[in-house]
Amino acid sequence: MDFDLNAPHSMGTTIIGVTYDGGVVLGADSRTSTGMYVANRASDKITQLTDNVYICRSGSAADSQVISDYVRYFLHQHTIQLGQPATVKVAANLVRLLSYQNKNMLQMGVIIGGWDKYEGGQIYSVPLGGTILKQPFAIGGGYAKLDRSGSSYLYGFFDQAWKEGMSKDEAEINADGVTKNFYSGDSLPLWHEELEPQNSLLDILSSSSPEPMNT
Amino acid sequence: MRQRSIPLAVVSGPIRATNGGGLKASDSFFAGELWGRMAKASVDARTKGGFSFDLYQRNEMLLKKGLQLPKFRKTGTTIVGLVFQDGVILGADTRATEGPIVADKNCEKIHYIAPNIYCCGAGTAADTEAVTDMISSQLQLHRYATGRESRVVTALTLLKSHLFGYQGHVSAALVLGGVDVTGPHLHTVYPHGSADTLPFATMGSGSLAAMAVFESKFREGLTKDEGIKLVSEAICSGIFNDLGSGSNVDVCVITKGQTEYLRNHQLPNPRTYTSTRGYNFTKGHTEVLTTKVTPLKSKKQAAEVDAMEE
Repeated sequence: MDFDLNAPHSMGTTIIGVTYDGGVVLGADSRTSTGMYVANRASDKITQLTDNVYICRSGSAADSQVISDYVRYFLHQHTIQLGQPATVKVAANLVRLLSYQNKNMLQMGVIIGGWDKYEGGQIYSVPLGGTILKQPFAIGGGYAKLDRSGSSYLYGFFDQAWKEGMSKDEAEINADGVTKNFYSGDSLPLWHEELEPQNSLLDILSSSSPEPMNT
Repeated sequence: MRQRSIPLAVVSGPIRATNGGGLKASDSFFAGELWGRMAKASVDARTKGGFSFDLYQRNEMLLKKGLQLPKFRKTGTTIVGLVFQDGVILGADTRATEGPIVADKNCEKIHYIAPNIYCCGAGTAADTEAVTDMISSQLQLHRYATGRESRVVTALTLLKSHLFGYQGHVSAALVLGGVDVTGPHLHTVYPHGSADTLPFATMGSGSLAAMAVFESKFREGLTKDEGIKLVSEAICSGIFNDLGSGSNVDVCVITKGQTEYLRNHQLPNPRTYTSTRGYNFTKGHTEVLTTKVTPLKSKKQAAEVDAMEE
C-alpha cells in the first residue's frame, strides 16, 4: 500500500485572517490529508468559539479539534460569569495557554479572529510553539514546519495588496486569493452552505447597561 | 460576585506512561481546581487496565536484535456510509486478515451502538470491537438516566475523547451513522481522535476504491434502493480491487424509527468448486500404528448428607 492510511490526519493548510474597517474576514481551504491521500475534501476549518469569535485551525486535526472544544467550553463559562460577550483577547489567550503548556504533545497552528466592543475587529496568531501575536492580518497559522501549506505564496501577495482600513469587499478579495490564485481548479461539486445570520450575544450590548457588575 | 479564575496546570516532562488508565487528556492538561474532581476520579480509576509502557525499552532492544513482532488481526477493510433522503446507509465487506492470511471469511464489521446508531469499524479488529462495545454500554446507561433516544453526536464525542486520550494507539477508524431527533448524521472518526462530518464517507484499505465510486455516482437525495445499490457497488469495488477486503457485502439502513441490518446482502464470492466425493475419511483409510486405552477414573459419589433442618 503506497498510502499510510494510519498516518495522523493533518491539515497542510492555508488559512487567512484579515482585519478591516468594522470587523474581520477569515478564510481557509477545505482539505484534510493523511499522508498523500485526501481524507476529507470538504472539511470546515473555521470553527466557532463564541458568537463573536471564530478560530481557523491547521496542523493535527485531532489536536486542534480538541483544543477548540476545550476553549469553547471555557469561554462559555467565562461569558456566564462575566455577563457580557467574551473579548477576542481572552479567547486567543485561552488558546495560547493550552497550546504553550502542552507544547510537547500538541501540533497545531491557529488563527483566532473576532470582534468585540472594546478593540473592534482583531486577529491573533497562535503558531506551533504557543506564541501569541496580534496582527492586522495573519496567514498560515505559522504551520510552516512541514512546508505543505500554500501560505508562503501569500506573503508576497499580501505585501503588495494589503493596506490599513480596507472595506469589507476589499478584504474578501484578499481571502479569496486562497482559492482563486493558488488552488488548482476543482470542478467537483462543493457543498455551499450560507449560514443564516443568527441572534448573537453582541445584541445585548446595545440594549442593557454598559457596565455589568456593580458591588 | 467573585470572579473565579480558571487555573491551568503546567505539564511537567514527557508523556507519563505509567498511568494504568492510559493517556487521558484530562490527566495531562488540567490538574487545577476546575478539573480537580475529574482528575481525582481518573487517578482512582488508574490502577485498573490500560496500557503499560514499562517494557518499551526491552521491546525496542529485541526488535533491534531481529525479533519478529506477532501480527495482530486487522480488518483490512472497506467500509462506507452515505446519507440518503430518509436517513443513513452503512456498508462493509466481511474479510478479516492476519497479515497475508484471511482469518475470517465472514466477519461482522457493522457494530451496534444503539437501536438508531450503528458504526462500521476498520483497523485492529479487537480495538474496533472493544471501543464500540464500550461506547454502546455507556450510551445505554445514558439512555436509562435521561429517558431519551441516544443522539449520534453523543456517541461521536464519547468515541473522540476515548481515542484522543490513547493518542492513536487504539487503532480504530470508524464510520459512525445514525438517525436521531435532530436528523440523519454521518461521521468518520480517526484513530488519533479527530472527526469529520460528511454526506458520504469511506474508510479502510479499500477506501480509495470505494471513494472513486462515490465521487462519480453520489448525489444528494437518493432513494433507499438507489442508496443500497450505490453502497453495494462501492463495497464491491473495494472487495475486488483491494487485497485487504473481500467476501461479502453487509448493508445497514437506518431511518427514523426503523433500522434494517442486511447481513450478507450480496454474496459476490461464492465457493463454486466443492469436491463431489466429499471429505469423509472412512475407516480403513488411515493406518493404525499403536493403540493405548486409558480408562478415565470415575468420580466418587458425594457422601450422603442429611438435609439441613431448622
